[in-house]
Amino acid sequence: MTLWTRAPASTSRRRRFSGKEALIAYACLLPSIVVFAVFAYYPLYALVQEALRQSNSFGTASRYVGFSQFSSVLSSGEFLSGLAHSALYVVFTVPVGLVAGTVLAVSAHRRLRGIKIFQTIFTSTVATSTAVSSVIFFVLINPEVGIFRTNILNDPRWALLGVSFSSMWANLGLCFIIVLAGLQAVPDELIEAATLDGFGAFRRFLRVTLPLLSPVYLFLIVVLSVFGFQAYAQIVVLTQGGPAGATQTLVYDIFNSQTPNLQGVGAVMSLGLLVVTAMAAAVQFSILQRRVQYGTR
Amino acid sequence: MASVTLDDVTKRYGEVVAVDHMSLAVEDGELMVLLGPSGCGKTTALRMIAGLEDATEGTIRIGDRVVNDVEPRHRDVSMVFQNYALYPHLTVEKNIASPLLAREMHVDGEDGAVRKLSRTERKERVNDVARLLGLESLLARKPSALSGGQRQRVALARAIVARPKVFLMDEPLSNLDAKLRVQTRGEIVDLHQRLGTTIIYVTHDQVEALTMANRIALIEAGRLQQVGDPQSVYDRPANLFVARFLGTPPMNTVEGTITTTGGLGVRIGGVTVSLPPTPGDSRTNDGKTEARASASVGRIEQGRPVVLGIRSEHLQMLGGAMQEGGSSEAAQVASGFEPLLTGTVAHVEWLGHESLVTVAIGSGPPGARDGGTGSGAGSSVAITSSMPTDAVIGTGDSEGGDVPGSRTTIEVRLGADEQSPRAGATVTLFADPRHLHLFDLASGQRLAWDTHLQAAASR
Repeated sequence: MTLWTRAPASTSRRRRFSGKEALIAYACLLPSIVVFAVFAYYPLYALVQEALRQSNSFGTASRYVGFSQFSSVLSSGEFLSGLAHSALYVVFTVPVGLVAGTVLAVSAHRRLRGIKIFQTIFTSTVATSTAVSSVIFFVLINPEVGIFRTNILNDPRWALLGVSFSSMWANLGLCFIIVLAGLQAVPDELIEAATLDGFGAFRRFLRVTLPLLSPVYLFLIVVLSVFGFQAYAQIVVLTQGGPAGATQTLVYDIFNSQTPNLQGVGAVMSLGLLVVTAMAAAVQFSILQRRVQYGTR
Repeated sequence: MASVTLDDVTKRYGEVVAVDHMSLAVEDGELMVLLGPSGCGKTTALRMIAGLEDATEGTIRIGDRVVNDVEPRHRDVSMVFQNYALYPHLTVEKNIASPLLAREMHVDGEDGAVRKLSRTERKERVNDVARLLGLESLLARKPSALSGGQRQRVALARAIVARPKVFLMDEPLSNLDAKLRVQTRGEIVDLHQRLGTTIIYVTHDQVEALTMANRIALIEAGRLQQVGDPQSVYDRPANLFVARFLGTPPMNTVEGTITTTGGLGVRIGGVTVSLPPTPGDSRTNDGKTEARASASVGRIEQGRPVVLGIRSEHLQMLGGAMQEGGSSEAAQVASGFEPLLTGTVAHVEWLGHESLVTVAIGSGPPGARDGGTGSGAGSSVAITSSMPTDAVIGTGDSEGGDVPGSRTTIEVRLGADEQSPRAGATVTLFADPRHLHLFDLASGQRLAWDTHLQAAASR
């Protein structure tokens, strides 16, 4: 069971291709190279260009300012507080996603009559767009008409956590599906072997199931972190960055700087977010990969 | 160490009966092989003993204790799985140590209560077992860095380390290549002799069963067919299933009817094979199954449809030339036995250490056919009885085998130093009547004809 497969060691010794083979290989790669070039690499290039320029206050003209804009923007209070909010958002949502996904998946990973219904219910949030789920969540916790009436979104101390609840809820389906798939890939006979070795259900889970789920958790941690750093629709629907800027995450700040006079600033912040996200993913990979158990046999 | 007893155990999955009223007593220290084709319920039986499945009905005992409601971990058994089931994330050492970490156990030199082992005690035990199985140098590796044979040994080590009362092995050799399988087979037998622990071993491989077992329990369709030591189940199969399942190639079987005219015999097509009284069935065998078989059989009487069985190695063959020159009497003199059947060589498979000759059985009585036709000059091979001919009667199409001219074939095994007849040669087959097996066609049960002989002949 792998979500990624690490290339076997033997293929790392590269074979030389003949000219014709290489040509065919590049021809096969061309379509995806074109797509990436148009939709990813060129925009990235344009973003860097923009980050190096500063607009006048009306946004009618811009001049080249070089990297000076980077230092000023990246050290600004706006960027740093946005980054802090985003980081907190990740810290709130990721562990909850892992735990909740595991709890749901373990309870659904039984051969019970009617379990499919629960699996469908648990999965339903996957098919729901963030905006829609945020609206539902907004109504759910509305202080006047909601089922869980709370003022959490109006309290600057708690608003960020409140918004993250909606993400946790929206992520639930994804976490559930991924962990359930991981559970189902754990060979039955390993659990049976642990049973006969003498371990009870809880220790079987800790000793056998959890280690074998580690690739699943690595995947979820990376994906949920990226989701967290990029959370935007929830904030727009629920708080618009308020109250008192308590839910102004980095992405929200970036969006707000999409005015003609702030384009360069927004570009720098976007690059900042890109680097932060990439670094987070890289760190997660390097730390966790050593502990991850891929495949079994 | 302990005995294991299944008492009228049944396992149902909904409508499907996987194990059907099975009663089996595995003695203390015995290596019992559960043998049968895939899907026969042997693994289900094993898993019920392990506690991985609940018995629907019946009682399972390990030693004197009824374990139906005992959790697997308290049954004091270890299991070796078909796919080894090693923990991929743990080193060999930790894999082997796993049961020691989980279980409480008796400690050498200490009386009384069981307890968990200390870290050093665990290490000692793991090292002992690793030494026993030649795994010392692999302890730090992960299972993915091991060969199939090494994984197999780690799985064995993990089963042994806790010194359970019973080892359960579920086709443990089926994932090994042929050569390694033979070697590991021997190692498990050695291990059994050294440890003396009860082993219940599931396999569909009759060679494994015959070579390893103290006793074999043959199972088909969830029912126990016969229990006995390898020789007794091989020599005295209780029914057609056992007869055909054991042996390579399987026992030849030919359908016919009982005739009592001029002594007891079986009519096959136009030929009568006489069944002289033999001391055969009075030889030692598993009394229980024999009694059961005989009870359900009833009388051997005229016209009763039966199946005659004979193993390849009990057949002898005489070539067409000798028959042409002399007669069936000459052949009889040469072989020392009365001719059994006549047939034509269909083809010969040369296997190096032996040859398998497939003989199509004709309808005429021995000697009555035109022995000359079909046997060319070179094919008149004199296969005399002095040669230790291992003959095989192939099962062929045993359905409708008593119809003259039907394509019943019999395989005859020749030793490496014997000259094989050519295809098309007419040959006569001989056998010691003691090696003939008789089964009821309807029930498939073994018929012990000598005990019925007096009754049949006196009428």
